Amino acid sequence: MPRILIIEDDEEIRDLLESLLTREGYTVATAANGKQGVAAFLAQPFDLVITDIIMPEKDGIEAIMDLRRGRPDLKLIAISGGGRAEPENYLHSAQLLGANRTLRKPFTNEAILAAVKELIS
Amino acid sequence: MSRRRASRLLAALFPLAATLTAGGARADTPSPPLPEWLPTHGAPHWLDLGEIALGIALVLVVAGMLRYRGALRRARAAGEARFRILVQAAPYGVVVHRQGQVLFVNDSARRTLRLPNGSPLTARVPEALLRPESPAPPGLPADGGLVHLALADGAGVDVRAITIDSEFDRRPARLTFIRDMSTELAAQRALAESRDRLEMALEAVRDGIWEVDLETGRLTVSPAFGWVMTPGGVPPADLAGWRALVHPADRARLEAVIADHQRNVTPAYECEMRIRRADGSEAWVLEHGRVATRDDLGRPRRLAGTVRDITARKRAEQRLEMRGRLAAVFLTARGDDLRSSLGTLLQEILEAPCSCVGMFDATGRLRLACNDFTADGAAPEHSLLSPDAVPEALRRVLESAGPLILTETGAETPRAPLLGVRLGSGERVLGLVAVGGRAAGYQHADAETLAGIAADLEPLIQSLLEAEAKDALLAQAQKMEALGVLAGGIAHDFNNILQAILGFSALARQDAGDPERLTADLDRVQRATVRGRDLVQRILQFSRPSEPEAPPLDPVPLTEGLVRELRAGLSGRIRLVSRLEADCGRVRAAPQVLRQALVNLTTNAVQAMEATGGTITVAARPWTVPTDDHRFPPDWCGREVVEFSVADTGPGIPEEHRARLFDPFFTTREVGQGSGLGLSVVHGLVSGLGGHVTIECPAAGGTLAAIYLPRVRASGHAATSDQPPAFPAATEGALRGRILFVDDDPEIRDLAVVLLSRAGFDVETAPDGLVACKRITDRPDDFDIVVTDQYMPGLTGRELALRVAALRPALPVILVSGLDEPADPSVAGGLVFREVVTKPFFGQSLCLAVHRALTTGPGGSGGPGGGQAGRVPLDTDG
Repeated sequence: MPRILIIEDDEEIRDLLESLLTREGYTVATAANGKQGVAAFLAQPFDLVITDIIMPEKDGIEAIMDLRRGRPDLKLIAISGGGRAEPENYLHSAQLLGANRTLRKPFTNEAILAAVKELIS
Repeated sequence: MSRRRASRLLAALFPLAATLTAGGARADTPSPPLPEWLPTHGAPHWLDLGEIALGIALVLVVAGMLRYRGALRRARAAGEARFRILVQAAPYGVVVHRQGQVLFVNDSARRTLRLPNGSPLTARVPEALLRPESPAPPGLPADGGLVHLALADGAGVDVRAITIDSEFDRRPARLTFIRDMSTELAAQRALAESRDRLEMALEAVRDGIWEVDLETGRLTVSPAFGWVMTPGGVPPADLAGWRALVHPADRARLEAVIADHQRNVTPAYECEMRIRRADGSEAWVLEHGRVATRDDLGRPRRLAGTVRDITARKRAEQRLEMRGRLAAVFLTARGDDLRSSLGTLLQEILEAPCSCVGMFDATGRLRLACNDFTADGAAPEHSLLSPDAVPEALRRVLESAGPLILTETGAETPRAPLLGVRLGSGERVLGLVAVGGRAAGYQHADAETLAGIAADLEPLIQSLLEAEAKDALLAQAQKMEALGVLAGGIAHDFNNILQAILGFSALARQDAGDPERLTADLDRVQRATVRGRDLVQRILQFSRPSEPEAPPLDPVPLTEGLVRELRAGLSGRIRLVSRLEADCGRVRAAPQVLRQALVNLTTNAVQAMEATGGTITVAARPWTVPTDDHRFPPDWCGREVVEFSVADTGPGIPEEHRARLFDPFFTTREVGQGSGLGLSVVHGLVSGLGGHVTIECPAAGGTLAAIYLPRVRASGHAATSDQPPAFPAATEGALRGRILFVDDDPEIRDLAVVLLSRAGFDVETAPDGLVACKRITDRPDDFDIVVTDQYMPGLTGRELALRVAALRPALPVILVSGLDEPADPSVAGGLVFREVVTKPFFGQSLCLAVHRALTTGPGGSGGPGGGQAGRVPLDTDG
């Protein structure tokens, strides 16, 4: 079964995505910031990573750069609700750095599931 | 010239002649002393001394020559050969001639006349020497006149020549004694030149020369002394008269440096001091001096030196110093500090004693007044710049172009003149500076100095104004940036909240068949909604801190309830304890405002200990601010307050963050972790309540935040709604009552119907106040309570409540308030509302409020509408 890592500092969103993807049969792990996420990724392989952008310790942009290094086949989805800039600004950067899909918060459950399926199948 | 001294000089000049005069008369008069400092400080009446010395030398030459003549006479008698030898040996030139024919020239004369040894004599001796008109009579000194001789080699030589009649080879001949005077003349010329130069130099710098006999006090001075010290007047004759000119404030200093010098501590002394001239003006002089002679015991006998007028230099120095200090003042001080720093500076610059310095704004309003002591240390009796008296006089200064010395005439008590000068930047008149109260009055020079100050201030003021303008722009930019950060943080948080609601509500739909999952999903939706409400609340309370007036409130129950609620939400690692004194008195605060302030402080404490865990202590006690507690503004001293404190055992606040704690958007957290409104909200809220906030990091560790609110006399009972909504103890069953729910928002109406019906109430809705009024008028007995929104088309909630009160005074009205409305019922509607429920509401709070209003109405009646007040179900939301 494909393995998915969720990197998100907001507990509600983390729980939502975990619940959503687990129901679809994926094996899901979570991390509360970029640093933890990269560490988890290095500890065991994942087929897909969903990461938030604005996070403490290490943000999503840095995390994507770290994750992408040496793993051209890794599928990446970046999600963001914006911060100092519009979500698109962050997501555009994430895309340039190698995110396969980007989703602007709030997104529907269907949207994220569709993106995951498309990337993993 | 004494003969003893003359012979001594002679001995030096003419050793042979000295032997000839040995045994002459003894000295008969003492010689006058020659001042040791003469070479550098020669006074005019001593300047002829060099000339005298030269004269002495010449006379001696003549005397020596004449005496030598006697010796020659004796030698001649002894024989021609011996005469020649003697002539030859003479230390000065001797030319023997007869009728223009040179008979003999000794070696000394050859040297003077540049005649090579053995050369023919005739044509080489200048004729001028051989044709004296009238030789000196024998036995008398010749005139010793100077003769300039043109020599064969083209050069010239100045000689003294004395010719006497004598014999040579037993025939009459003339002996001309010559002495080369070139050296002496050169010295004389040099001396004269040096004297001229000295005189010119002294004239140029106008240095005065003085000498004082310390025994008699007699003062001898040069004319320039008078120019410096007493222009146009008579110079003092003695030391006392001189020292009386010195400014009293400078006398001691002068005496000290002289005393040091006289004790041989210093080789000479100098002192800059002020003097008062006869015309009342003040001048700066530099006095140089040293002991000229000491007696045999080494005691100073005479003191001599110079004085120089340095007033111009001192003014320039003052102005330079002032420029530097003004710049410093302007760079470092602001506002009132600026004015007072400037005032102090002006006082110093204008060389107190000034009794006051004032700065006025352009309208003539006194902005700064400094009183100072007078020179004698006496306190001034009044401030010359009393606000009421001065502006009129100073208006004239503002209207005049330059500095103005104002003399108030006709005042009851004579006042010292006032000196004022306009202070401006370019064409813009900013105000004026004035000094007054100086006993000696103000002179033209003071006016110039003050005008100089104003002129120097101008560019500084200009740059200050520009800098202020820039600061304002910068502050605005920073504010906008901060707002951007805030907006970013809010957007981030809000999108997450929406994400949770969107996601979990979608899951709830999927989970319709699984009650357990459904409940969990909806819990998440509800939690996200609460987060959204809190976020909005934080923003609103920052922009609208509090109501100005609130009824007295007993803070203890509120704090108790708050602690209870907060405790439930804390993780196991954080303990929350309360130490509340039962009788704290009352404070004037809207409960939700105080509540919010305490929540923010506690939240901060929780966040500080998220990583480490620890204990939070919430305390409340009555207290009196001590007089020496500098954490409080001065007017707080002795004030009776209620102290609310929140202490944590967290890591404390880093030093660099302490100054910014109350900045609106300051946060140490990441964007999205919080918008940084916590402490600034507390500050805003508490200030709105007329209170004070302190944040400290005790040595023992952690952070201690405290809110101080003035304690007020309890008047009657506290509003019942002071207490936070408390949950009735275990309730069961349904509530009873007939509710008219008024709101223009259909969603809210639908929600209310569901929530209130579930709780057991009968609910009827109305879309606005007018419809509601009609229903009540039509069916006055069909409703037990009205629940209304505030902002609606037609009537506001408050207007509706007032109408209801007129229609059916006993019918209670509850307000469902938006966040931007005060929640205290008595505040909100002047006691028109029985209860206020804050939006967004949840079933529980709305039902509780309705229940309370029905059961604890003003009449204290029991249950409404035939139904007993039942128990409120604990969870009507689920």
